[in-house]
Amino acid sequence: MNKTILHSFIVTFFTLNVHAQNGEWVEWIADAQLSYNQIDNINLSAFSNDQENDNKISLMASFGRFYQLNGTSRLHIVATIAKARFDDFDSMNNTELGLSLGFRHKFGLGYYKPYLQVSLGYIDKEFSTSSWDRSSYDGYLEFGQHFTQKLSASISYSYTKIDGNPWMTVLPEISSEVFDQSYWNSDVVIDYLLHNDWLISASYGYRDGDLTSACTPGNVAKVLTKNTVNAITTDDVFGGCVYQISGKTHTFSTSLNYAISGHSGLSFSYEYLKGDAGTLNYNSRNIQVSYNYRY
Amino acid sequence: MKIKNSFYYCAIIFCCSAGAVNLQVTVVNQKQQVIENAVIYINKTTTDLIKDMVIVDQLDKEFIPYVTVVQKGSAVNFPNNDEIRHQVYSFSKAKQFEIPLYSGNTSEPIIFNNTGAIAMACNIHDWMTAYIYVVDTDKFAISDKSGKAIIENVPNGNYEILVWHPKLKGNVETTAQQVSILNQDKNLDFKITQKSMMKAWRAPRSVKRRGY
Repeated sequence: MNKTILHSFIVTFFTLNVHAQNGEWVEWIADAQLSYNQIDNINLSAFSNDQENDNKISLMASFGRFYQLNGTSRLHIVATIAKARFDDFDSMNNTELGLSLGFRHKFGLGYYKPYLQVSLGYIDKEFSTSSWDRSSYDGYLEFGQHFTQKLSASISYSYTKIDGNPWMTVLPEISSEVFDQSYWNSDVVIDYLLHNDWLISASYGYRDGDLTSACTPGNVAKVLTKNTVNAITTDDVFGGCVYQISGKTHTFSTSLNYAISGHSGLSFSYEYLKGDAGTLNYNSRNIQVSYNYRY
Repeated sequence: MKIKNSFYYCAIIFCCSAGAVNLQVTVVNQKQQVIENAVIYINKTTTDLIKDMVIVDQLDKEFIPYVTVVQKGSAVNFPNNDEIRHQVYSFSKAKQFEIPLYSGNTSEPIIFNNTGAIAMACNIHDWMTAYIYVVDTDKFAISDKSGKAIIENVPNGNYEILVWHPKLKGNVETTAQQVSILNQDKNLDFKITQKSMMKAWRAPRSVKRRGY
């Protein structure tokens, strides 16, 4: 189903290219990001005595190109490669390959005209522990606008479907496919220019759907007695079990961005996630420092 | 050699007697910071304006220069030296125009027949902004990084000098200073009030947020 949508999008993408009378391939996309993350409750455990923390360093690079259809619309095709390494949980080290196809339309001429962006993405992620390998497909819709010279905002909606690897069945009546997930996510982002070289952003994200959590064997009973889990299996990475449950999360984040030049910048961000599923509550924090480059 | 030197002396004496001197201007803001890209000009209409062909370039997705002064009636060409396409437009009262998506040097020059400030931008790359200031005099200059500018060959007389800058708060007339020129170079200091104004953000924030 997801592959069909992706194929349809690719066909539409190239059909638009052919039919655009003045269309032309324009800018190359060559972006890179080096980031360092400090993550609290990396296993998203609902139990404080199970929560694990770790640090991650990752390098991501994107290559692609824009296709300008006319003065207000453009397409993009971007391939992404990323590699992440963890300090302690090195079995979570992973390599990611992705492809994104998108369409962006600005509603008229001028800085303050709103825009609409639609994209479809595919990501293949391979972990050191192969049982964690997964493929994800997502559809993304964003609407945004500059309101003043300093203030801009966007609202986005996305739907993600993840296909994970088969896992060992531990309870015959419950699926073991903990990484076969789907969820939708909506974000509101506000950007404010503090100075020519400083930009602050704040965002709120609401996510509804499947989430995956890990816990030690001592807490499994607490999960299963009062909650309905979608899937459960044993887990090598955090040494207990991993389960999937339907829930909702709220993510609050803020970032401070410094422009080194028009082509590069530094970002410092803090993210706090609060979620609940059945009787379980989840909290996690993520601090990130990143260097970003754009060709 | 003697003949050559004598010629220079004569030229200098002639210039001085004709009263053509230089007016050196320094521009600072309300915080005493020197101001680059301020336009300083004599508020006196020149009848025989030189209708130049002026160039505002586009390179690395920026307009170069950021501020350009042209004499009324001049044509401005907007060559695109990026290997991509730009769409240049302005909504300013002094000149509204749009150059549809183009690459290379294919656009027709734009004629500027009204005095005043023209803010322009690119519709594809929102951070690309620049200004053209149209004057009806041939005596003008733009301040450099040290806030200094020289208006050359100003004849003897009494003048009103004005300063304009993209961040100028209020009307350009509020900057007016009267000056008398009489056979001698003159220094003039301007203090202008600037409003808070920022360039649109360009730097990358994340690989996932492409932004345009």
